[in-house]
Amino acid sequence: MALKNFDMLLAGVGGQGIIFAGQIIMETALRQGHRVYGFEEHGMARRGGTVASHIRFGEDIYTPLIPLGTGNLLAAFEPVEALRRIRFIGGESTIILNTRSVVPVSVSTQSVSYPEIKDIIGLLEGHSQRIHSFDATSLAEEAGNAIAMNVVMLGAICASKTASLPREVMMEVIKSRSPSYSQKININAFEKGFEEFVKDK
Amino acid sequence: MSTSDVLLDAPGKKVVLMGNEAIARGLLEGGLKVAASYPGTPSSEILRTLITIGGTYDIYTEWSVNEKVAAEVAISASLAGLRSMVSMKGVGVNVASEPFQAFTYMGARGGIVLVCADDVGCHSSHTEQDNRFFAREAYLPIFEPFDPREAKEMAQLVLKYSEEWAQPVMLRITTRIAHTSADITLGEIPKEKRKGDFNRLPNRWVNLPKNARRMRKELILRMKNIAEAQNTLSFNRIEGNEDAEYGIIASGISYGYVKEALDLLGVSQNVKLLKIGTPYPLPDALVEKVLTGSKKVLVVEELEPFVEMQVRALANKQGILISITGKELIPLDGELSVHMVKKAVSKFMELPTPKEPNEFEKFENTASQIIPPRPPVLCPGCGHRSVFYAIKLAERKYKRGDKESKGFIKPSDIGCYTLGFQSPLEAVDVNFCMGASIGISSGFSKVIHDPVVCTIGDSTFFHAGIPPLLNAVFNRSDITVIILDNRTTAMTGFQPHPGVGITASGEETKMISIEEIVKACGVELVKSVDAYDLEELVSEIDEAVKHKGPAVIITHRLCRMLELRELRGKETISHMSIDYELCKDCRICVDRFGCPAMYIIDEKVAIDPNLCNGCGVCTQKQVCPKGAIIFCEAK
Ligand SMILES: Cc1ncc(C[n+]2csc(CCOP(=O)(O)OP(=O)(O)O)c2C)c(N)n1
Repeated sequence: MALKNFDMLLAGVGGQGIIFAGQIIMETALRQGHRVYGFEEHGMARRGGTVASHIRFGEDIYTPLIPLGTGNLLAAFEPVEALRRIRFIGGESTIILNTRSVVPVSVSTQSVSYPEIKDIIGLLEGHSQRIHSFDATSLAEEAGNAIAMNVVMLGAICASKTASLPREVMMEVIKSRSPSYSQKININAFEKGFEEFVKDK
Repeated sequence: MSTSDVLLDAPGKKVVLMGNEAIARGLLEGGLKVAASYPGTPSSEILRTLITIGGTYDIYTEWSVNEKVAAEVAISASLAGLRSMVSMKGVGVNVASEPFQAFTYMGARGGIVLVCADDVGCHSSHTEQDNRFFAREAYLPIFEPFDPREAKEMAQLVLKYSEEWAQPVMLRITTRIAHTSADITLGEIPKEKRKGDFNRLPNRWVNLPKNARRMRKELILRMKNIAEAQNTLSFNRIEGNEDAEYGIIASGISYGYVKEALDLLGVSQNVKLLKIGTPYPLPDALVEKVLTGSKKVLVVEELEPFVEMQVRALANKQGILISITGKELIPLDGELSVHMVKKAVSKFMELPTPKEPNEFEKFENTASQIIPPRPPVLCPGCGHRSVFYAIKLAERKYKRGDKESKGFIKPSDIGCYTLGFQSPLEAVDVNFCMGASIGISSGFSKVIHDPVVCTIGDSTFFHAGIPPLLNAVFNRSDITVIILDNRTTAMTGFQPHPGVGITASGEETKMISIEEIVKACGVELVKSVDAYDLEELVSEIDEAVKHKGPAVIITHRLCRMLELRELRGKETISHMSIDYELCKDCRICVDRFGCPAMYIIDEKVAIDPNLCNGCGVCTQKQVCPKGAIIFCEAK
């Protein structure tokens, strides 16, 4: 492995399956023999609140929080959430962005507006060299259920090879952790995310 | 992470567990037999996990009515010679305080641990209270892990430790440990079957002043012996360069931040680092070793200078005259981070100020200007919203009748409904600790002329609402209390309470009626209303406000989130939509009701079918006078 430690941040909103995605990554990393840490926000993260998972693996890690400006990969399940968490990510990083927005209530009840996706991407480009953006939610819909967007993102994370998590192992973990009714959709969703990333490259 | 992993009888196997699950597993391996708790973030998953383990490994588990009772249940197990635990969030310790203050004199029989989850950073609490001070006050030795793996090791050890020293102990974690997952190595599950027995020892178990005076002397001696043994525990150790002139002492999670900060600064070999796992009693001999061999010492810990004060006192006692730094460089409030500790260590070691990585601060300033906030909100379909809406309607009506009045005073309590303070509802004015709504209201009613209308959840009412209600009757307080019965403890993850009719482990039990309790407290005006029925709510609030003396309205509706969980797969949920022929664009719905499913698009109100939970409250004329909000077929 080239990197001593690998730090990854998953960012999104409540209900997007961030915790599940984080668990899949940690389990895959564990099966690769890594020591892992993953901090999940549980507290006030009810429907519509912001959620992030810090995931770190490697030998020299002693805290669950990614030190500011050093993270290797940001997977944003929602566009503005990428901006909200960008401070944890380093310039040499990869950003994977779902372009489908979840507009917060504050936009309808207070006088704030939701930024244009292209402006968000523009800002991110000023920060990081490698940005892959695509509509992960519509790929999940194609796979059979919009809910599986988190698994589409997992496919893309895996394909990015940044974290050296083997495709077969992650797929195996997804299968073992999915309830039977969602297994087929999840496998499909994973493949779609994976292919999308490879194609985009 | 998966419930089956935590149950595995596979010593040596590594699994990913969340800190709280790891603690539950450690306690199981340490011979736990009884576990009691009252829910509270970030502690709730400990008992939740023990409930899933309990059936297989014969552990009695319960959600108690509050933290004090939970503590008493665990204490009685200790008296009966069994190993027990009680877990709670940091502020819960205030409620559990009294039994521990007394029990510590008697000392433990079966090993007993208070697992206290402090919320440094106020992720989901109203204070950052540092309960290491409580533990010191109650003479509870403290175990403070730096990560989930160590939390598991400590949990595995503490029950035996407590039993051997005959002293209750505290396992003190923070949100960052409770909710961090890590690879955890499973250990052996003891097969020993112990039965509880109780021996009558009135000189010990009956806390008369005469016994207390003797037992206090014994307690002080016990603690002195414990203090000496702390130096040999592996949770306390000196690392790095023993000859270095810089010494750093770090407790709990701060050890991790210091390790990474030293690594990033490239100075790990220029420091001797004392890792503290038991901040009380402090391993004095190790601290002294660091003090005598260093030119300067830095103490790193979150919140209060708990270790720092002890280190300073020890230096003073031993006449060691070196520079000791702590809260001059480490903030008193909020969580630490590698970044903050790096800055502090650079100052302490007089290194050049570290460069800001990647200029993220400048970048953030640009980005933060366009990020819309996502405050937590009451869910679509929440029964609390319609009750708050009705309170505001009744208040407006009242103000029309009494032009002098500033309206109702609206204290509230702790739960999802605290969010009723937000605009556009603005139906919560004061709120601070469990059960306070009713006591506060009684006080207001004595000093302010305007009507007082307070709200309190069902779980909170059972926890701490009954004594203040009795007080209101006893002292003839002129108040209206609205009890929001959503049949669960929603805020903390849907735990059952005495009104639900099932126990923690899913057994049926008597379902306690809030109405009967309220009547038994002596309240004369008691009404039950459907939380979705706006007309009925407003008319009952009107009447209650006019009533002399305390009046109680109990509003009923199962938490919509819980209901949807139960309906999932069984029934299709309809949703609302707007009939634009009828809509006159008055915006009452968006401007006053504030359901997250409603939004404005192209200058018109719309309802998001994916967010709408189909409660239908907005179809009533109080929200839409034109009847333009209509039921749609299933989504
Ligand atoms: C002393 C104390 N214990 C526990 C908590 C954690 N806590 C926050 S809200 C809440 C109860 C919520 O239940 P309920 O009153 O029924 O309201 P709901 O969230 O269901 O609307 C609890 C236990 C706390 N804040 N303080």
